[in-house]
Amino acid sequence: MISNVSGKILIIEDDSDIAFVLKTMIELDGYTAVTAGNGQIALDLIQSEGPFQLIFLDMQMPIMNGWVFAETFYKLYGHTVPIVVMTAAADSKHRAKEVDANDCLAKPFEIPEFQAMVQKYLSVKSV
Amino acid sequence: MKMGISRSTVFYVSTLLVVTVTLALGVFGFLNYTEIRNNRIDNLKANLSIQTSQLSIALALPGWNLDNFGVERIIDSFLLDRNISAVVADVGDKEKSIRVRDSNWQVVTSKTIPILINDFTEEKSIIFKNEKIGSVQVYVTPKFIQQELLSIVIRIVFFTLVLDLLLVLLLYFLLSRNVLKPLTEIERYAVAVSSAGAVPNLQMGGYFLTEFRSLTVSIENMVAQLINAKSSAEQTGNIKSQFLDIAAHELKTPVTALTLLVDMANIYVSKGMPLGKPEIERIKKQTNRLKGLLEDLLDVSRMERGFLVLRPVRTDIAALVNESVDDYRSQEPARDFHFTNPGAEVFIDCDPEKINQVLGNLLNNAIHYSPEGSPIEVSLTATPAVVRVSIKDYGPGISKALQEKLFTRFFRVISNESAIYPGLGLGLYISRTIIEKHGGTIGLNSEEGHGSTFYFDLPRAEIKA
Repeated sequence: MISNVSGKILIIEDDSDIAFVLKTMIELDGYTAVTAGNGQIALDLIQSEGPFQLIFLDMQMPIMNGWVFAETFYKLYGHTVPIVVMTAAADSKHRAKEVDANDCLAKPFEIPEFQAMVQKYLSVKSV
Repeated sequence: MKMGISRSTVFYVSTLLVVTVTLALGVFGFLNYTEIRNNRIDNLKANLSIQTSQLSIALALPGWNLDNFGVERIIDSFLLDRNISAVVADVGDKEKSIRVRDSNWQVVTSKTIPILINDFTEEKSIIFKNEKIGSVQVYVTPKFIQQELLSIVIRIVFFTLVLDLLLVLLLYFLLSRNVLKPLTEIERYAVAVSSAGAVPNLQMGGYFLTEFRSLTVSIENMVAQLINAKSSAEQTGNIKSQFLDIAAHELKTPVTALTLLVDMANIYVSKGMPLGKPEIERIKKQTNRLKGLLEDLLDVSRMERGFLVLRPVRTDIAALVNESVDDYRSQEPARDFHFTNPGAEVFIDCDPEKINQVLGNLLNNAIHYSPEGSPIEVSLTATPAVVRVSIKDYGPGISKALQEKLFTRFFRVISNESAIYPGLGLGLYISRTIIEKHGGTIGLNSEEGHGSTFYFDLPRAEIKA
């Protein structure tokens, strides 16, 4: 496991249990994680607590969903931070393409898949 | 393409019809012919009798006078009737006068008495002054009657055959034009409808236009109805498959949470870290959520099949609502729940579990579709016949257009609204079915920007004396 890597990850997910597990696992791996229950809260957090090195994005959320968040985020910051879409849609890759995301995790996924995704984007940064 | 009715079939049918009619006429004609022939023969025999009598009288005087020439002249005058084939006169003691016909039917004298098997004959005495002076025998032949009848039969048969031929051709023409053509057209139409699914127009002609027009209208109506039924079945199928997509999508969220929570528990155990009560609570909560979704699906399935069974008991609805509100109060401490109670027991006959499910659905909706911290007002009012439970929220309200669809099955699919709050969108449909099964009604008053009040009315229990 790569240690002493400073990685700050934003998890945008309206299901508090999923957000809780992801945050716990990230922290167990030595990174920092912040959770947001919808796109609007996430945009506020980026302003107040940014920058982040990686964003995990759920699609269907109240108040501001994943589509609107991605669009707004790219408009404000460009493609500066990789976004990984977490979706329960039948075709998750299509969904990722739809919002111009870097990658996707098809729900339901397991912790090792999630950890691999974190490694993929944060270890590249750390090289 | 081979059509159902061919031209040769029409020809065959025409011929069969004509042959049948001809055979029937033939039997009738044969019976008629026999009767006419018998009549003629009877006439011939009657004439024979008369002519023999007349001849015997006419021959009396010349016979007495032995006037041979006179006898022959009188006999010959009778032989002018061609039906008489021979006359044998035996007068006095002289030789018999035998007058017969030769092959050309000319009258000649013969020496011998002719043998005429087919002919009829009669003999009479010749009497003069009360004294028998001889006898006369007359022969008549049915040959000419038979010849005449035969020629009539031949003529009739000939004309009948010519008429038959004409009738067959006419029937063939009429059937082809007025039955075969419209039927072929209907078949062409049926083939076009079944192969292309497109609906061409029926082109009808012929002399039986009115008869075929009503048939055409019926067929076109039938096709239109079938097409409607097909498209509505396809629509229902589409809605159901979209619903399945939504259901799969919705089930994925608790399944994802549970997968992650169990993975995490595993990691905790392998690292020797303590697994706390909050983690177990999360697992419990997600399991319940999954159970809730499955129950909703099962409920709808049961409702679709008409298998929703109520177990009604006499229940104090005021206590039931109070309990339900208390449950939500403890689950959502940030919310302000007001319950306006009539302050007395209000009894209804209901399945309390099902009514609780309705209350849960309405309270959940009120919580999820109104801003955090805004109050939720529950009230119970009763008239002598009906009790009403209302749940008011201070959410964004619901447009009139959406209100109409809200209680329909698969509303989320039909309304095409993207889901803001997760769920199957079955809650209100299930609630409506439960309330209606209780003999009650469910509805809402809402205005955009002014929140919504959902209510249901249930009949009060009859108070036993």
